[in-house]
Amino acid sequence: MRGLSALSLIAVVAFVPLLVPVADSDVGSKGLPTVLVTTEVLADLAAKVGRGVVRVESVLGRTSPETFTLTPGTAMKVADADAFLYVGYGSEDKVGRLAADVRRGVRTFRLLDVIEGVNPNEAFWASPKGALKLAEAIGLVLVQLYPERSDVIARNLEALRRELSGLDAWIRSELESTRRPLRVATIRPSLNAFAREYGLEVVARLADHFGTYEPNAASTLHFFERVSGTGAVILMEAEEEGSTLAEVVSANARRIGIRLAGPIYYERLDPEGGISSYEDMVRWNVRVIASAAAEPTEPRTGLPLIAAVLLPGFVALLAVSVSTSLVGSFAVMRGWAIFGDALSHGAIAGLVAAYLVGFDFYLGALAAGLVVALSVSYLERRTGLRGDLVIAVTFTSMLALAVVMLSKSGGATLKLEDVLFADVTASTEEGVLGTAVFSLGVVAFLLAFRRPLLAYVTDPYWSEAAGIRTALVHYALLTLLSVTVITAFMTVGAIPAVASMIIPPATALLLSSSPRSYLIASALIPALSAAAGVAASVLFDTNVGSTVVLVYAVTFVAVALTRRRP
Amino acid sequence: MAVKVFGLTVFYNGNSRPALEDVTVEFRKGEMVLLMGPNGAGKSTLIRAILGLVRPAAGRVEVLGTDPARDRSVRRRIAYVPQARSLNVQAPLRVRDLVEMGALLSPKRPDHDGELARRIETALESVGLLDKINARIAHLSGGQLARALLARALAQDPEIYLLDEPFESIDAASEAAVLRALRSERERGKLVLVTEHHITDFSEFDRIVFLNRRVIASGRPDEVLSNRSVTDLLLAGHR
Repeated sequence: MRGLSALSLIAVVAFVPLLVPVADSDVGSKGLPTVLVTTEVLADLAAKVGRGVVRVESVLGRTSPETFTLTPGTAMKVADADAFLYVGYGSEDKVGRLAADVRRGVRTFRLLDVIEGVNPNEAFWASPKGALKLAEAIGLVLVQLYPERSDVIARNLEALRRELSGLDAWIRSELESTRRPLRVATIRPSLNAFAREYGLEVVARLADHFGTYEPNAASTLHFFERVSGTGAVILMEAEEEGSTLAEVVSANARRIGIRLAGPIYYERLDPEGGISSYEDMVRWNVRVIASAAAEPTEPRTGLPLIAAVLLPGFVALLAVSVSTSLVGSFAVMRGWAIFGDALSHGAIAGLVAAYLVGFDFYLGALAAGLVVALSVSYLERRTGLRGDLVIAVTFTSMLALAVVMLSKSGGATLKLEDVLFADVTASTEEGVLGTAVFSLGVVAFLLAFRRPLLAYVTDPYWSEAAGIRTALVHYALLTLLSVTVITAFMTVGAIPAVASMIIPPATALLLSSSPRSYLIASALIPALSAAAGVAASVLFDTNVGSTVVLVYAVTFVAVALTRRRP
Repeated sequence: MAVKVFGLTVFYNGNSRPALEDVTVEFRKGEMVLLMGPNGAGKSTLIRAILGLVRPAAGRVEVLGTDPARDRSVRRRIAYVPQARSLNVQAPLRVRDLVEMGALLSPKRPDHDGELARRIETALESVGLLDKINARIAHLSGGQLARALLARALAQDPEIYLLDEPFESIDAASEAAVLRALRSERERGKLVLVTEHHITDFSEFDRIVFLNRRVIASGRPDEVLSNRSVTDLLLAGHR
């Protein structure tokens, strides 16, 4: 193994100059030069290779590469560093490219360009053998940058090689006594390379890369089809904590009866949890794997897998889309069509704030939604500006507030994509029950008060004169709209929530001539679209919520093209 | 007396100039009155005061013997006909649905579907719009919409009609139909109060009340229209 590494070291040294556009020999004046790297794991390995030569710092820290945004402060840091190193996988590659842009390519190194024989779509460094390859690549870069210190770097690399070799022996002895076959499943391809090395079997992974990933019903279903019946345990990555992917996996695993274990790590360290180095991380992962393997589980659901995975989500989708559409049917007549956008953007700010202070997400989003609703209503009356203008001002501001809060949060792992495209297959039974009861309440309220609501939205002046308490109706409708859209938002994500409020009522307006047929159409269109959308998302392997929105859109266009103007 | 207004002064929030100042005027049952005045004269404010929708700074309003601001039930006995443009014509309403809103508001609310249908049909017949009963309101012309709104008021069978500029941009045939229906209601002893800011067919009205924040003149149409202050204001409005 050592001979091979030496050969590859020589082989890649030849390529390194091609990768370095400008080799600035200037060394930082205060102590050692600073090398900035992406992840904490990479930082630990780089610090070991460059001990006594460079000072290494992770630019990501606890932030996920997917949520990384370049603030002026970070950009300065990236620009000032003596060198920047990144591996070049998934979203981490994007962070590296951002840094390369900031540094205009100067002394910026993508390590995967000089590593051979690894799969770039796997966390190859999660096994000591892969970690050594990464370390050797770091060594190459450092020797290129600081040739006068090559002896120190070579010694460091040799020490690390011994350390990794000891770790390799320890892993083999730890896993030797575990029951075989040792089957696991993961969310990301974090253990594939490790598994090949140590005789584990990764039966499934939900995403086959480390980039942005939209969960969808079909892939969730396939994942659980591959996991169930194999006795595999699902190992959750710490890096996915709080993500929609993690929710999808944990909600369905609990429902089907597949055991979850973890977390395992591949990118981040957790010094408070006793994981402050690469070696700690590997030892932690191995212990998690060994204890998970000790007691395999068999699925215990009575339902067919397709029903267990899709039914709760479908019920939740049906409930929120019908109730949101019915509230929307009154709201769009009042001219509040884009109000849903304001609410959902407000909710994002509420979610981020709740996330940062550790408050309940739903209540945070709801509070922010209500603040938006009342502010729009107040500003509209106070300024006399058109409603759409006030709404646009409000929701743009709220979205900016959300992004600013996220970029100030440091270790945030909350991903905006997860908020925009929540996945209904992540629904839990309790969640579905709550959503269904809530939606029935909304529908009952709307049916009971349909006459004053209809009068108010069609003819507010007449309604006021007729003795209808229009201010009460106004705020009741506004509040109901906010609560319903936010509930839909938390269940199916922002885009399906907003679309359910607008598109089915718009289609119903084209189809109906009476209030009765309008309300029936406003309930039937989302119900049928939910069923068609779930079926289509399984068929075409697409995100459920967004597919339902496309069904709404297709229905609207079809009706618009065949009906005359209302 | 159907409506009594005593020394009514109304300010809108923040405005130092009153919308109405010390207005005293009375309207009898069986009377058809044209409430005239230039834009911003306070015609709509007076209508809102009769409906109990504004808080007077001074004075009081009595409608059918009660204060409409305190006793909301009296509003069922008043039919308000808003300007046609205040209606959301995109709404999925047929003419029938619009008129039904009035019938269901009526103090003499129909107690079965047959009676409700008859009430709707009678009201539409009075304005000559029965053939449009199932038409969607979006498909009506301006004049037809004005007639449909009046039919809604007729179906309510109120004691007082308050019409806010009903002749705004409507055809001659519709104007005639509206006036005919209103005349017939006056003969049934109802008070009909119509606001208008431009010159119209005065011959149908028993009385004109000319308003410019205060009551400038009140009396028979020919008397009011020969009043110098009124003609000056009317001419100023037309220049």
